[in-house]
Order: sequence, then structure tokens, then C-alpha cells
Amino acid sequence: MFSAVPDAAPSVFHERNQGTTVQNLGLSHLSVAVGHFYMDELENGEEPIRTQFERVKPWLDAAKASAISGGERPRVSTCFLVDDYFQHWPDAPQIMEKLLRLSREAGVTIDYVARESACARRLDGFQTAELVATRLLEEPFPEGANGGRPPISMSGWMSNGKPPRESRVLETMESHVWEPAHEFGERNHSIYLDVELWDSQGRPGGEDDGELGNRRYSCPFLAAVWQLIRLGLLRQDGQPALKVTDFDGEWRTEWDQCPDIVKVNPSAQPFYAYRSLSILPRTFLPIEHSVQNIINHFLPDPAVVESLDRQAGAKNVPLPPVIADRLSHFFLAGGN
Amino acid sequence: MARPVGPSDPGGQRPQVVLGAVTTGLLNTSEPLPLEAARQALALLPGVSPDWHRHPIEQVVSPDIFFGLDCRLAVPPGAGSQPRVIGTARARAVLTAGHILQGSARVEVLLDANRRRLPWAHYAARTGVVEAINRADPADLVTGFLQGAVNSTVLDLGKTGAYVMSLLDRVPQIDRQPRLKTETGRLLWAVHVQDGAEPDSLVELRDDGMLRVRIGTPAELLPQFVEFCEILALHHWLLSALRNAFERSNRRGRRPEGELDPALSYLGHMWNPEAHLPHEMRGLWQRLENEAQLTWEWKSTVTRVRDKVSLLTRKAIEEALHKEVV
Amino acid sequence: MLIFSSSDKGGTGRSVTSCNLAYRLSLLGQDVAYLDFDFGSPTAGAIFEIPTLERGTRNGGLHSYIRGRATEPVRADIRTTTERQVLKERPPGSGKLTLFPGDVGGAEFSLTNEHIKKAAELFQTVEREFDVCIVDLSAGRSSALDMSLQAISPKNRPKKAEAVRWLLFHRWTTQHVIAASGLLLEENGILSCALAAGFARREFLRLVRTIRTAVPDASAFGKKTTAEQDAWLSRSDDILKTLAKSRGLGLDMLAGTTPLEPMLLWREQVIMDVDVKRRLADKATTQAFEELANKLIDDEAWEGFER
Repeated sequence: MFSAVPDAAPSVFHERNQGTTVQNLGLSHLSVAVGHFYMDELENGEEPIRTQFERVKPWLDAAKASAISGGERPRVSTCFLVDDYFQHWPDAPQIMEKLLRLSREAGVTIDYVARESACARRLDGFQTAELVATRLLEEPFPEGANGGRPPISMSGWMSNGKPPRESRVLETMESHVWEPAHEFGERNHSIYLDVELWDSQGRPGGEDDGELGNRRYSCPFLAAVWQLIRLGLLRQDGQPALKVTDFDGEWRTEWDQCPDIVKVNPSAQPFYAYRSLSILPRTFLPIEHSVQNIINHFLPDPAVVESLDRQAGAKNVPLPPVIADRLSHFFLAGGN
Repeated sequence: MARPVGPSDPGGQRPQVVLGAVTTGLLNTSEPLPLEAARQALALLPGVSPDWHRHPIEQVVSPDIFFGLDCRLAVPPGAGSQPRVIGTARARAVLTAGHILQGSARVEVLLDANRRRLPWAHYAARTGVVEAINRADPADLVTGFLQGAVNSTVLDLGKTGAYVMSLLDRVPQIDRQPRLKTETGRLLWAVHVQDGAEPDSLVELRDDGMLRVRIGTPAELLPQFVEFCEILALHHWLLSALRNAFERSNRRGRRPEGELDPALSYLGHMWNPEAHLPHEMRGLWQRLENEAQLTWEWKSTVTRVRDKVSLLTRKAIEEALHKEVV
Repeated sequence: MLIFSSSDKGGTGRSVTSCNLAYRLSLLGQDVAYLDFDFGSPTAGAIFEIPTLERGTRNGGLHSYIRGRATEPVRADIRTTTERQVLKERPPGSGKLTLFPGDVGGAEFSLTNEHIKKAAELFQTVEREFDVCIVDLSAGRSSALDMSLQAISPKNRPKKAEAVRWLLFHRWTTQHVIAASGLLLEENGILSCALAAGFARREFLRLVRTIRTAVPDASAFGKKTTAEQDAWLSRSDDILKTLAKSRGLGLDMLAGTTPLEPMLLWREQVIMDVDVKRRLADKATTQAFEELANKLIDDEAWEGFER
């Protein structure tokens, strides 16, 4: 039947306006986040900063040596995320000078510096976080989603299962029994996790439907955005959602005047990478657990996935389909 | 349409069955949306722009959006238990000529996958795919799905399509004042993926007004087949909508022009099934035309409507003249 | 057009009259949707004699839809699903007759903005296909009533949208008149809800009309009436009229009256012309339904009895 095409001549007219063409990115094999500090830690003494970078150094070297590159010479880039979303200290030049100097002295080269605020909202006003928020899909209840139920409207929380007790108002005369929490993908036992994604500092009476300006994103949510950015998975019209700007030699006094991502090492390997490693103080363990939960519910644009798969395939770089499998962590011991 | 709709099989597994539904209706506006407004309206996700054509009929296709699924698949009576599937459905909105809106949803079914529900990340990485955790016969799934969802435990992609359409009711470009009463058209389709096998298809209309399309085809032709179903759904809806308007114009105590004028201005120019029909589907369409004669029926219905409008116009003129004489 | 049916007390004949109006409207050539918003006890399925929907549906009815548990509500073509043979026939020139059933085991819920949005979307969707949508609300104050008022308020419904009519059903007795007036005009009543939803008083009251149901005449006393009975009846009727007027439910608000129909005392059902032919039902009943149906879709007749 299909062979019986009445008009087998090749077509003359062609009109195809693909809304979005996904750009192939220059990619490293591994993006390493070299430590993290809260803004007040950056403000205070130099010693704790120096100590953390010194502890990062051997693990960074190990990462460089073990990067999965499919036989190519490994390309590894490093990055540092500045916490300017929850705390706002107005002395960027001084802090950046100190940070770059101390890391250099510890033998850790920072290639790229990014602002955490940019993971929520870009310098040009574009809502970066929305790219993740609109692509999160809540897990269906077991045998509870047949395509005839509208997606649960995002409450600002993301869980991996069912809470221990129905928290909603019970319907009149509906029976009420206590049930334990339950992780949908559990293996014998549950680790139930419910992560706050944002709160609405809303104006009184304001609703949380689309009034994104009112949202204050949580630390795990922005950290998830940051991971997806590094992995090249967040795009706006096929381009990376956050772009890299070369350092122009001068830091602006106000953080919100600084570019979203600055390339501070001119000879650095590409910022975006197939995989990521985050070397962080141990206190970030719950945050990264939450990041994983968020990323597990993130549905990437299939065209972006395809573009990355193609690039990896061409160079024989193994790339796991599950995004969380592209993430790795090293947690530095606490104390001094 | 432009966006690739090919089967995704990251694990190297191929779906044996693909199930889909297309719902069709009038966009809730008094006039068609201009192309620019349509492109804004169908940008259902930030960061991705809809695909579009200008010729020969304007068409805009939204990016794919996904729905979580954990439910049963229907099987025919006597075929054993209904397999449970987990994963995501893929859906998109298609707007043709700025006025006819479709919600198109589908899932690829992987059989013989895992025997229990896995962590969600597994399914999130295989968008548009559901995995059956019980054994099932592909032929049973095709037949079962085409029965239509009888209750809310089995997969109901028609409702997913309707939901996608309803997203377009909320955009600011919509004035919510269509001048024509129309019913939503429904089409279910099911593919038994058979590589190398002789393709085989059947289009069926039952008394519930729902079209059913069943096909056995190699995986490479899936995207074209989805487009075929969307085109068939659209034209079947056009025909139903025009017939509905004609029927309503004959009702008691009604001004026939009130039905016929908007029907002609909304629908009259829309018939062009081959406009975006993929090359590979022309043969199938031709066979359907030979038997169902949809284009003939359309033309004769339009003629009937136009004749009635001219008669009414003549009558109105004669009455006006008569009044002047008197 | 959207028509809401409300009543203060149960047993007013609100649902059965609404079903009969739906049927009559379809005979008049209108495509009619009947939305069963009596979430606590959906009854329309029984009145239309649809065995599978006697107490609502289990597969995502209106209650599920409003609660966000179904993307679109289940519907049933009344003529193809009813058990009643004569109702199956669709006379030439008549319109569609479709039931959107409630859910088995639905119940009251606390109203949120999300529910109101859903209701507004539901009305929009149904109006795209049907000429007339009859929304049958449960007796008394309910979330469904509040939700409906919010959904049709000027805040949520475009100015140029199709007409809305609000019917208040009550029986023609002292208690019922007082109760109906209370529901409409007293605190936490329909009017105050409407004002809270954003209506202006005058603007909302323009939509409201009353229907006096099961109004008896002297024959209710039996075949022969005494002069005393006639006099008493006439006096009682006058007292009721005065009461209704003083309670804001006077003639200026009246859309129509339905007579006491013995058939409906035994069984809530659609009264058809064949029932009159078979002398089971009173002709006055079908006449009353038809008159009301005509009035509902005739803007001039409707506005005609505006004060």
C-alpha cells in the first residue's frame, strides 16, 4: 500500500519553519563545581576559604584524571556559584578578588563564575527558573493516572511519593484512616522526600498562578537549575539558557550588574559538559538529595536530549539517559 | 508536521504498540487567530517556539508536553487481565487556519519491560513511553484501546487531548465568542508496530461518532501516520461541523442564516486534506477517499449550504421588493 | 444560555421541573445540556430513566471535574441511553439532549479559586456546543451554588457572553414562600453571595425569576368541592400572594407556575405528550412546561415581565 504512492516525484515546494532549532554546544566531559560558600563566609576571614579550596584540590585532580571521555583527551572545566540570591552584599570586586586569589593559591583554578540569582532570573529579566518549573512532572499515583486527570497544579513542593496521611481537607463522610508515607519507586522500604521548590511572598490575596515575580525559589530548586545549566539541558530557543561572557577585566560593584556566567580563565575548556561533579561541604548533602529529587521529575526537551545524544554518540562518549546519573558529588568532611 | 515525532527508544527497546487520540474542535474565538498571535498562543512551554507553516493553510504546532501515567490498558473481553503501564504520554496542540484546534496525544508501549514500578527518573528519561509490567499481546492492546475507555482505570488519551485543547482557552488572545455551535470530534488510533510486515489498515466509524484507525506499520512511518490521523480527524470534524450547522438551520423557530453564515465563513474554505499530508500516506488517503468519498460528501454539503443561503437571500430580496411595491 | 435552578427546600420539584424544561427546550429545537450540580445526591439520571446513571457516574462526573480529578466530565446522550422507549425518539426539528451526570458518592466540598476556575471553564466548554445549559443546584446553600455565582459574576464572565437566567423554585405554601425568600434575600443567601462575587444588586436581580411548583387548584380537594372549600382556597391563595409580594417574590419576579401533577407525586419523570394522550398526565402540566420553555429562550418575553 505505501509503495503505491501515486506521485513519487520528489517535492518541489518546501516550507518548514521549525520553531526552535537546538544549537550544538561546545562540551567538556566534566564540569566540576569547586566548593561553595555562603555570602557571609566570603565576607569574613580568609582562612576558612583557603582551607576549603585546599581540601578541594586533591579531589579535583582525581576528577580530572578519571573523567569519562570515551577515549578522547579529557576536557574538564571548573566553576563556582556565587550565592547572591538569598544574601546581597554590595562589594563584588573585593569578594571576587579574594575568591580567585585564594583558590589560585590553593592550586584550584576557577574557570567560570556564575551568579545564583541568574538561575532564577537572568540579567535581562528572563525567568530562567521557569524553564525548569514548567517542565517538572509530578509522579502519578500508582494506578491513579489514566490520562483523564489534569496534572496536579504545582503547589511549590515536589515529592517522590505519598505523604503519611492525607493532608488535604477530607471530603464529607469520606473514611479517614492513617496510612504511612510511601515512596512510589520504593524498593522494600520507602525514603519519602518532599522538597519545597518555592514560596510565594505573594501580595495579600495574590494567587500563585503564573505570578512568577512573587516566587522566592528554594536553594535546592536553584541548585537543580544550576546542574541542568551545566549539563547543557536548559535552553531558550535552542540556545543555552545562561550564556557565558568573557571577563572584561572589571567586576561591577553590584552583583546584579554582573554577567550571568563569567569566563575568568581565558584558556578554560567549555563550560557546558556531559557530566557534572560537585565538590561541596558535607552540609550540602540534604540539598543535593533534594536536587536529585527535583531533577528526577524534570522532563527535558526531547530535541535537546537528542542533540546531546548525537554529539556524545559521534565521539563515543557514554551518556546515561537518566539525568541524575550524569551527576556526581563529593562531600568534604565538616569541622576544621 | 515539522516537529519530529519518531519513536524514542533510548534503551534500544522498540515499542510494539503505539496508541493515540486526536480531539478536534473550534478554537474559542469569534475570528481566526492571525499567525503571529497563534504562534504566541501555542507556545505552551517557555523557551521553545511552536513550529509553523504558512502555505497552503496556516498551521502552528505546539511543543510536546508530557503527562504522567500509571494505569491499565484495556484488552478485549476474554483476553485475560489488563496490563498495568507506567510512564508518560506525549501531547501537542495543532492549530489550523487559526481556527481549528486539535489536541493530539500518544504513547509508545514497551512490552516485556520491568516487572515493577521503578523510580520515576527512569520514566522521566523515556518521554512519551509507557512500560507494561505485565505480559500482554500487542494485538489485544490495539483492539482493547480502540474500544474506547469504558472507565477511569484504563488509559484514556482522548481526555488528554481534550485537556491540551482546554489549555488554549486560557490564553489572552481568545475572546470566547465563537458564532457557531460545534461538537468536539474524537479519533482513536492504534498501531501494531511490525517491521518488514505488509502494512495494513482499517478506518472505522461507530455509532458513538468516534473514528477509529488501526494500522500495522513499520516504526519508520509512525510520524507520518500520526500526521495522517490528525488530518483525517480534522476533515472528519469539518464535515460533522458543517452538517451539524445545516441540520441546526432546519430547526424550529431558528433563523437559518444564524447558523449557515458562520458555518460558511468559518469552515467553507478549509477543505484540503492533501495540504500537509505526508508523501508516504497519500496512497492510504487515496484508498480511504475511494471508499468513504469524504471529499465528495464535503463538496455536496457545501453546495447544499450555499444553495440554501442563495434561496434565503432571494426570498429576502423578494420580500423587500414586495414591501416597496405595497 | 445558562440557566441555573435553585431552591431552598428539597421536594420543591426543582429537579423534575428542570428536567422537563430541558426536554421541552430540546423539542423547541434547542441543543440542551443538563448539568447535575446536585453533588450530594445526583438525581437527573433517575428522572431521565438512565439505569447506569441512576445515582450519578463512577467514571468522572461533574463533581470529579470540578475537583480537578477529570480533564473533562462524562456525558450521556439522554435519548440513546434512556430506558424509556418514547423518550428515545428524536422528533424532526428538535435538538440534542445531553446529560452531564454528577458522581456517585459526591459530597460537599470547601470552595477554592481553583474550583471556580473549573466551573467557569466548564460553562464555557458546554456553551460552545449547546444552546441551553441547565445547571441543577442542590437545595439550599451549597458550595456548588456559591461556585456558580462566582463563575458567572462579571469578574469571571465576559460581558458579551450569552444570557444567564437564575430560577428559584418554590412550592406554593407559606413555609416554602418564606424559605425561598430567605434563600434569595437574607444574609448568606443567593443575593448576598452574588454581591460578594462582584454583581451589582440590580444587575443580579434582573437575572432571577421564580417558578411556583405543584400549585393546586380546587380539584385537589376531590371531584366535588364545597363552597366553603372554594372560598377557603381563594382566600389562602390571596394570603400567599400578599406574603410572596411582601417577601420580594411577587408577580414581577414570577416566570411561571406549574400545576400539581399527580403523576409526579409517585414518580419524578419526564412528562411527555403521550402521557397526556394516554390520560395519565394533565394537559395543563405539559402546557405549563412548554410555556416556560418558550419564555426562557425568548428574550423579549423574558424581559417583558421585568419590573
